[in-house]
Amino acid sequence: MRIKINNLSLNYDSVKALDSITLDIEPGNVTCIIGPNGAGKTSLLKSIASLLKPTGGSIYLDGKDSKLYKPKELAKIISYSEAQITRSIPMKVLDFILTARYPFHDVLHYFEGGRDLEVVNDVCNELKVTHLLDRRLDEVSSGELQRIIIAAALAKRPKVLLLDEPSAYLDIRYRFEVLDHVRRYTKEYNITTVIALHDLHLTSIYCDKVVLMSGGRIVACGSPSEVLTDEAIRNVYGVEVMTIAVGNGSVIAVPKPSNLG
Amino acid sequence: MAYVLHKLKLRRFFSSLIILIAFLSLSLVVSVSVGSTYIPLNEVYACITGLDCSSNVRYVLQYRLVRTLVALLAGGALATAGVIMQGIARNPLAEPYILGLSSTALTALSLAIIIDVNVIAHRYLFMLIAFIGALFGYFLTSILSALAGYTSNSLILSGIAVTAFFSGTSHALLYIVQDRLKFPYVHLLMGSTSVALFNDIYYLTATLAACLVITYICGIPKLLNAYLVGDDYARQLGYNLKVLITLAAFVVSILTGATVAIVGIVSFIGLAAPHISRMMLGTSDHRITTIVSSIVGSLLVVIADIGSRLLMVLTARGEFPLGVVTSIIGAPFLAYLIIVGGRK
Repeated sequence: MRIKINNLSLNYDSVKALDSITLDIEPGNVTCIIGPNGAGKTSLLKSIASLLKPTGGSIYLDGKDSKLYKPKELAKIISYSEAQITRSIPMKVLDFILTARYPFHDVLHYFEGGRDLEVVNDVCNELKVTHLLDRRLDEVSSGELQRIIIAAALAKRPKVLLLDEPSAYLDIRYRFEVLDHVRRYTKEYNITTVIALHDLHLTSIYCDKVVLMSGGRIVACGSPSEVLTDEAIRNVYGVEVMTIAVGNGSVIAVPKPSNLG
Repeated sequence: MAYVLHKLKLRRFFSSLIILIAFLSLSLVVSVSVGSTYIPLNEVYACITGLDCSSNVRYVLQYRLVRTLVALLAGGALATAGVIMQGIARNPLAEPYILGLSSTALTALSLAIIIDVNVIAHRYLFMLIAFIGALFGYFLTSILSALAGYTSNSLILSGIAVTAFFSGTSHALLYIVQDRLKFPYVHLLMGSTSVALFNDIYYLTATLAACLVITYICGIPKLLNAYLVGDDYARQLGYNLKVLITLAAFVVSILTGATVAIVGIVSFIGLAAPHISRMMLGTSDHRITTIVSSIVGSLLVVIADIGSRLLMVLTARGEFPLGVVTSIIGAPFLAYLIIVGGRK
């Protein structure tokens, strides 16, 4: 699904969270949004998911204004997931992942059918969380939980996948595995994936397109090698860095704190 | 794996249902045989099946059957209210009594009786007034909790403040009521089925059935499953939270109001029943815990009612309120939950 964002603005009270964002996001690509805390990454993802109402501008999904979609339709197309979930009354992992199938149920199908279980079964095998299905959500580690959240996001079989900080709690092995899987899935099913990331190295490896944000605006947009430059990072993050290319376009940004002499 | 677990879950659900219904039937029979007049089980059986029934036995049985059924329905209503309340509060300690809904409902009732005594005769109006009281309590606690930052502690503490204030108020008002009306309305303070009338069965059945049907048709159990995870998570599944959470709060208030109007304040059922049902089912999928909780709640209140009559027989001191029994059993249960929750 092609996403076209046109002059999008969003205000929280009087604070500008997003300031005239214009962006094209293509299907079959992994688009990463990077930027310092408070740059507007989450606001942009939530606006695409129609969880936040923009103050101005519009978002087109396959040429149709997202305001014209019914919430139930959008729920089938778009998956949005955060890095953390509430676990105050924990359910079983399987029950949680199955909630992602609710948009496909109608009043008569109150419980999950064979198709729902099949999809969940496949997704869980792919993300290696099958052995966790019988546990309660408070009985898994934060890394396992993160994979479970991504499994729930994919269990919708979405056309648009929006992930907010999916790698925050993962160890290095699963960082690669999970993002690798998301990338493969994006190519295979030709879906539109947008990920908010903090890790610049992962960004350079797994993203086709990088959007660098700061203060609610897009500062730079393009391929990882175009965007991830010493200068751009210094301007946006306020940190002196040296980017080192480690092959295949992958980049490591080494910070050089200026006050350490 | 997913298939196997799903099947196991459903199997566990059905076996829990069967076990609970068996226990409930047993407790009903015990309940109609226990009281100040002892009726042997074989006579109870003979009378129920219509083989042989003396008018004395029949009268006693009828009276006990009414209160037993009222206990059953009140328990179901409170437990359903409890399970939904815990979901919308995302707090395993939430309950209509703890969050102040019961006390505000009783305060509304006492005020209504003081304004016009005849209101007692109109059961639907009486229940409606209690509902408005309970809804007021819900919003008051929610607002207080929101002002205090919406943490799980702030919700419970706000509930305690609301409960304390309004149970004090309702006590005071009920003293005034007692001067005007020669009726043991103090029973409403601790809950009792001894004042239940035959028609109350209809009122409670209608209320509970309507609430359960609305809950399931509007998909509230599913909404709660998604809502427990987070606001945005539920919204990206297409749920309109404002509408559905308000609807759920209404259902909780209707159920709480109806029981308070008929049997008074029965504490801790709304807390204990959801926990017991989650333990039995091994999950908190509201599609199955809601219905199982309601049966567990029925069972608990019927047993508590038997307990209150046994206390009467043992101490020879007249009727004990139902709420006395549920508090004595329920409060340690709350303590247990706090300890378990605190350790995590």
